[in-house]
Amino acid sequence: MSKLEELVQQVRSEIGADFVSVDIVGMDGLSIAGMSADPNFDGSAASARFAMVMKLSQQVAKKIQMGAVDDNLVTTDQVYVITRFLGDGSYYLGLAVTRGAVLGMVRMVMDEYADQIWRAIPR
Amino acid sequence: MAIKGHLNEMGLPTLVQYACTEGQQAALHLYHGDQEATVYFESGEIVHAAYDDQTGEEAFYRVLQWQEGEFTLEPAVTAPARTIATPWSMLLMDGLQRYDEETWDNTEHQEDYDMPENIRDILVELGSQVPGFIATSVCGMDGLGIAGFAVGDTNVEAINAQMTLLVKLVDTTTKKLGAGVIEDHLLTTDKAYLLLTFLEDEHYYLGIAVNRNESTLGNLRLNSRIYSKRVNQALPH
Repeated sequence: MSKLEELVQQVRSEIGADFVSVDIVGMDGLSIAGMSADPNFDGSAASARFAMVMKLSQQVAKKIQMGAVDDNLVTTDQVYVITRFLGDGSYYLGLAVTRGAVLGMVRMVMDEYADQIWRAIPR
Repeated sequence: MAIKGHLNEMGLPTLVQYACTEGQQAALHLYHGDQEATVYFESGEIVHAAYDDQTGEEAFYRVLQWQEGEFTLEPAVTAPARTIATPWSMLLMDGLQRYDEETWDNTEHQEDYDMPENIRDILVELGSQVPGFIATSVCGMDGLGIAGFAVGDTNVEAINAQMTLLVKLVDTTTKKLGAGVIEDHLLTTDKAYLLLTFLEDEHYYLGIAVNRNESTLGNLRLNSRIYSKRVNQALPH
């Protein structure tokens, strides 16, 4: 198991029963590592679509002079989806959890693993 | 490779947003009944539009209203002319505003009411309750605010227009992925939190921008929930 796969597994374990999916995605929209609790979940579609969201959010934040984007948190009636830039912004970490998750804890896990995941990405 | 689809699945605003943010050089061919139009993109901007005997912005505004039909986005096509110089986001907002005004003019529900004033009062109160407050507004999914309040020289209209583009893409994304109905969207930057909470009819949202260093996320979300309810009650139904 690669270091990235280990970290992805650790993120899943930290989230526990509320885990839905996690992906490490390049800004080309392609996932380089990830896993999902739902075998029917289309991780590649989610990665590509949220890469577009991350790109547009960068442009929007720049145009309204609100600084550099750290993350996006989307709340639906089913899930929380957090997408957070890694390192120099060439990758993002996407995590989906159920609405039963403790949001503060989920953000803390993202904070804790973001640097480790960035360092583990092969270059 | 060309992308093909139906306008009722992916509307022209979303297609424009996609082509421009990707910085594509492309031609977007649109088919609406027996009518055809083409919009050309280069370097992240719309550079030309042609429909019937019209070209330029007027042609773009007319086809922007098409909600049915088919499209083909053909990459690597050079525009035959350059008739548009307005930034795409402005063009989109102006076009949607025109459509909104035409729709409004064609309905019989025009009546005097003091809704924006009431909502503005609520927003002013919100501003006094949220630490690190920068701006707030109640905005439609056309990117036009119906009431707003801000400190300093913050450009609320620009925030409305840009954040609406973003939240529309997020909304489309969650729907396409079957991830449920969006309730709110939080954009976190190194300077600010921008929280958009959808109101009951999903055509409007309450947006709040706060200074990240002076606020807490829990307080922001709590106030957003409280004031969303009050704005919902003040909106005409």
